[in-house]
Amino acid sequence: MTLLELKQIKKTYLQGKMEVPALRGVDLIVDKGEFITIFGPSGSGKTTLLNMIGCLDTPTDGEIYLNGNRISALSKKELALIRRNNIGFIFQSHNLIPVLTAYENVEFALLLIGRLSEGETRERVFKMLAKVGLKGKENRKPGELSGGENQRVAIARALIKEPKLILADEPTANLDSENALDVIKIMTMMNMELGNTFIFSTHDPQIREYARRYINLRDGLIFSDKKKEQ
Amino acid sequence: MFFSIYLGLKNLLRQKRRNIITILVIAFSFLGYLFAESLMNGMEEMSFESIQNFETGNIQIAEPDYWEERDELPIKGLVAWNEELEGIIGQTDGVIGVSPELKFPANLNNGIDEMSIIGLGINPKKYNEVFQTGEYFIEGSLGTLNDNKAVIGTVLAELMDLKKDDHIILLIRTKEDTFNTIDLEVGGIIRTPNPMLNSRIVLMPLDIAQRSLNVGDMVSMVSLKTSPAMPEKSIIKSLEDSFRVKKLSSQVYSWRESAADVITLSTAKKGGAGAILSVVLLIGIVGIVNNIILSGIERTAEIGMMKALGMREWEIVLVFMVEAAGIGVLGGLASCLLGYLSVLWLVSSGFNVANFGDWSQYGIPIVDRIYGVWNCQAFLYIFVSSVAVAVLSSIWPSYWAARKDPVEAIYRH
Repeated sequence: MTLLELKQIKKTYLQGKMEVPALRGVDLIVDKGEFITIFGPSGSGKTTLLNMIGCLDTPTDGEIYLNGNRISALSKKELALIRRNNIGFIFQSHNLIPVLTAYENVEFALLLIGRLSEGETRERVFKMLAKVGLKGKENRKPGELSGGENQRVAIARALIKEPKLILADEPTANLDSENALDVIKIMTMMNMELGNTFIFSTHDPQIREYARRYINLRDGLIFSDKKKEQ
Repeated sequence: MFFSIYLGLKNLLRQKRRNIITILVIAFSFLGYLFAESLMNGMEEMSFESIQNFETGNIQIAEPDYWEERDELPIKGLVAWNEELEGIIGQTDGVIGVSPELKFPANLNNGIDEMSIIGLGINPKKYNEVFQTGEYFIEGSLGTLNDNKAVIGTVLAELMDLKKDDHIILLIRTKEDTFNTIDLEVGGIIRTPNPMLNSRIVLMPLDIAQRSLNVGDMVSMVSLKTSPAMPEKSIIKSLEDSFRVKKLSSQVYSWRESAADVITLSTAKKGGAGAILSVVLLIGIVGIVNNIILSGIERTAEIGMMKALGMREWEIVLVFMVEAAGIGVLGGLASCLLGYLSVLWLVSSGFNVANFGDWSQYGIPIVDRIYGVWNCQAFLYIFVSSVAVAVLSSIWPSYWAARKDPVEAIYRH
């Protein structure tokens, strides 16, 4: 069942007076529950593509459909609401709020939606932190956690609202190999368990192996799109 | 929204040193205002009290012609101090003291030097009902003011090298403009909070002054002390009505008319306080704007993350504005605390103006210490201003921070 559809997505940036194409006509269909990696050399358009899909940026040309709804021409306010309700983000740098505890950082994403009672919110946050292996560390602040643990908090924050789509831009780039593997395993587990769609970019071939679909970007175009053989 | 408020309050714990500096800048600048305000109000209150307690009383009765030229101390246009006038004043509700006075220009001669002074003929008993001078005798008392005795201030005594029991001569012009002299003996020396009394006035018995000036029972004016329980305006109106009925030409004047110079200074003071407040508010605005802009720059990636998670601009603005409001509240509380301590010192110990020269030459009738006065409204005003300035001045930098493009904020910071 299609979750996301990109039709001839183009994005051109202006550098001074010069136009620099970042995406030159990307067509892509993503089904619900997929676990996709986007890879390619630096400057191939991975981050730009993720930004388009994540409603952080709008395409110069082309159309994007999320859950059948055209999102490529929405206002900033409408895009913010789509992000709030449907999309989870995991960044290369965890970008946690340093004055909040792990619990509060995760709770933050849930409070923005504001659909749950205090008790339900508490229960769900504790469960999610336990799932990512942070049971007992709920009250620690980012400065009191390791890099890997902070990235797990970021994963919990992205997943807590049970979004249909989770986008991760180089989620393991700042981690050592052991923590990187832990993070990708947690992402895989969540994908299997919760059925969310994951799209992540990475340079690491070892991490890439965990994906079930590989999209290779080159010069702003999809060079190859392969699914893992079962 | 509650999360934005919570996060804004939590953010107060970040950049503690910068926040504390901003809070202290606000606190010390507002402290300056509170101190200056208390000092200026104290100066105003003491000036007004000094004028009423030592120069004019609360109300003065004089002939209009005399009043117009009163600064020249003319020996014409005088008031007849008789039973009729005393009776009218005595029957007026709210009048608790009456002092007839004869003021005249004179030259004081101590046998060696001569200096221009103001002679003031008084009835010691009645004078004591209106003025507080009697409480400020260093030597002698108002009771010694009889026969040919005079009372002078310490400054005049020092200038003319006079001591108690010394003989002085006042050279005067009579009503007919002929020269006359009054031989007096220094019967008392006073040191009052009023510089004019200390340096330029020679108090002497009214009857001797009247006889020497050849004015009969006339006086320059009559000073009245009124009850604080009755409005001054109603007493003035009552006296004016009585004068009209009795067809007396004398007029009734409030002490404020004699204190025009000090009142002008007081008005200028309000302008000065406004100027101080403007500078203080500007310092607060600069501090808050600087703080929020720096926070916005430092937290660019965080703002990007908030926007990526779907936080709307107004919610991010609220985070920064709550933080600014928190700084304003803490700055306001610190201002009030420091202000309380400084005003407490000013009220109890006073500010010694004697170190800064003779203030009487600027029209301020205060001799040595100015004591501050409490003004709770000023404290409340400062607290509210601190919070309001913090909140209002944070609007623009908060929007500036919240309007950052999320992609730029996350990836290019």
